[in-house]
Amino acid sequence: MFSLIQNEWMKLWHKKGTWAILGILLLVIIGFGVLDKVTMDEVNTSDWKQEQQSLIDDANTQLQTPDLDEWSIQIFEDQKAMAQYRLDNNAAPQVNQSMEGNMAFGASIMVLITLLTVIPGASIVSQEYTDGTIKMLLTRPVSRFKVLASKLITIFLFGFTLIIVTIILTTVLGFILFGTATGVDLTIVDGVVQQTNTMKDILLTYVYSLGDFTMSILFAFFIGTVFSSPSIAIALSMLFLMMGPMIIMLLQKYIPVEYIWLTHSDLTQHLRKEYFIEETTLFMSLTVLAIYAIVFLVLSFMTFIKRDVKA
Amino acid sequence: MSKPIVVLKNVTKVIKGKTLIDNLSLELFPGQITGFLGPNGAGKTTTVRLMTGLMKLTSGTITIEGASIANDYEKAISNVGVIVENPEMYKYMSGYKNLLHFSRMHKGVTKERIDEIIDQVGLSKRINEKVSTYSLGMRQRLGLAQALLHNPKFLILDEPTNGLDPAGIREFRTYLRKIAVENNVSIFVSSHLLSEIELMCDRVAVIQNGKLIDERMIQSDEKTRMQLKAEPAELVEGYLSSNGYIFTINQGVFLLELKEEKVPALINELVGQQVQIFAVSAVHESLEEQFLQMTGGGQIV
Repeated sequence: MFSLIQNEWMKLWHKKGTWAILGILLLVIIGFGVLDKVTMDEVNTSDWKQEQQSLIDDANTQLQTPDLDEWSIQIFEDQKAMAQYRLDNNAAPQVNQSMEGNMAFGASIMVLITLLTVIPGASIVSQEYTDGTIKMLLTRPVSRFKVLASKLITIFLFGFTLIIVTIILTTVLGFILFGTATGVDLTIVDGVVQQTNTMKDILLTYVYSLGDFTMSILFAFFIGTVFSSPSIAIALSMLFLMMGPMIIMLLQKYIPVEYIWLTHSDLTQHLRKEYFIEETTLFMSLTVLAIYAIVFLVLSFMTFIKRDVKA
Repeated sequence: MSKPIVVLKNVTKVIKGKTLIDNLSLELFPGQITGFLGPNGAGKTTTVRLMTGLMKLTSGTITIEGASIANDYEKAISNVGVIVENPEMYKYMSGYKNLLHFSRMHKGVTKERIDEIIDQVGLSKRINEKVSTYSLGMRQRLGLAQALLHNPKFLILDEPTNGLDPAGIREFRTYLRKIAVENNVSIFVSSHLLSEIELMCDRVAVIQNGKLIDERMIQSDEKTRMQLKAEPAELVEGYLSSNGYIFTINQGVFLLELKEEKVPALINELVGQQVQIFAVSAVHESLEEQFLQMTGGGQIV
């Protein structure tokens, strides 16, 4: 099995497209970092207290406005509470341009990483059919199950490699360009002002983004295996990845969308507590995703193992 | 004759209600090159795909060295080297990387073995270049190298000389003959090129409409047919039929099945009957003519 993965890894990195994918990722990360550095404002950190005070005054003025709607009142109350907290606890606001900020950017481009992994994920099986190499690959003393499993593992390895590259690069680049952050970020939970743990947030964003990451790869792999056409597989999985929420919005009138994986695959909705459709539990989401993951896998393996190769 | 290494028994393949291979039985022996001949669409490639496990049998069995391709695939295929049509290699990798790739899928293929086979097929100079830069002939050699990498006891070649130049074909033929004899490998060559099969093979199996219609040793039937030009025709015909000869008449020329050593006796007899003999000659019947007779002509490409 190890040697099969070795084979797939070798083939993957001999394709120009794979290097292009890595190039795009590096370009986006470095480009963003440099652009951020160039446009960085010279922040004067000393007068932040004055700034906070003016935020409070501003909020108070706004709150005087007659017939203010509930939503606006909430915003200004929050603004007031946070500024007051900073003054009371001597907690300067965090500067966006920092190592932490750059790392948070890394976590926010998980969608891009997913998109970039979907491309080889959709073509790793189908391209063997279109190139005709499938018959060379399958007339070996290795079961078809192992051949397909090695391809799936290789794609996940590739995806995780991209994630690790992103984490390391955003950290190192952020540190070199901006240094570590000063000050703290605040958030309001149930009306109480709290300091956020930036590192924990970044980590959670990465972890929760694995939902979309995993489902998109499995879906692309499944389509690529069943239709043995890389272009269909890439197009369909990108469509679902980019337009997933929109598709769900459109469908919700007609079918119970809470049983569609697209409703749940973006797990960060649990992190943000902002749900596509209606509030749902993490357990419910994971259960739906697990069922679809199994369906995709079973269909991929069944068609691959049973199919007559005519290519 | 030794025990067969490959046995196809009542092999049938039905796709969407269409019977592509119909109850085909065939045995292949070590050290023998068997040609598999048939018009296009007769089922040659389907048979090869069934033998290599690329397609699943509808019914019947195929065993290679006693292992069933349906139930014990990995064991059965471990003795087989395959070139199905054009050897499609990974064009974006070097020839060497391609061989390395396939070697990892077999047990016990060493780096030394890879170098040895590269040398044997004469690709040493270009082996580290990308396959996309190779000529068709070089790709064929690389295809042969990957098929022979693990020293298979059974080699399947589907239309192997597609795109080879005459010198390449000749070299290829010599090489196949050599491994058949020296390594006692059984070789199965499917082709629609009759002259090809005739020169390369010891034995030929003919398939048409998914059925095996003939199976014979090449050259065994040659020179057993004689062409006789003699007059008067009625007299000759009367004599031949009353003495149990098998013959046909074509434009006043008799074509009869007769061994060479019996020719003088027949001439004596006919002369005794006052028949005038103008010519007697052995018919060197090429495989092509035999093939046309077997398949009823017309359909060959």
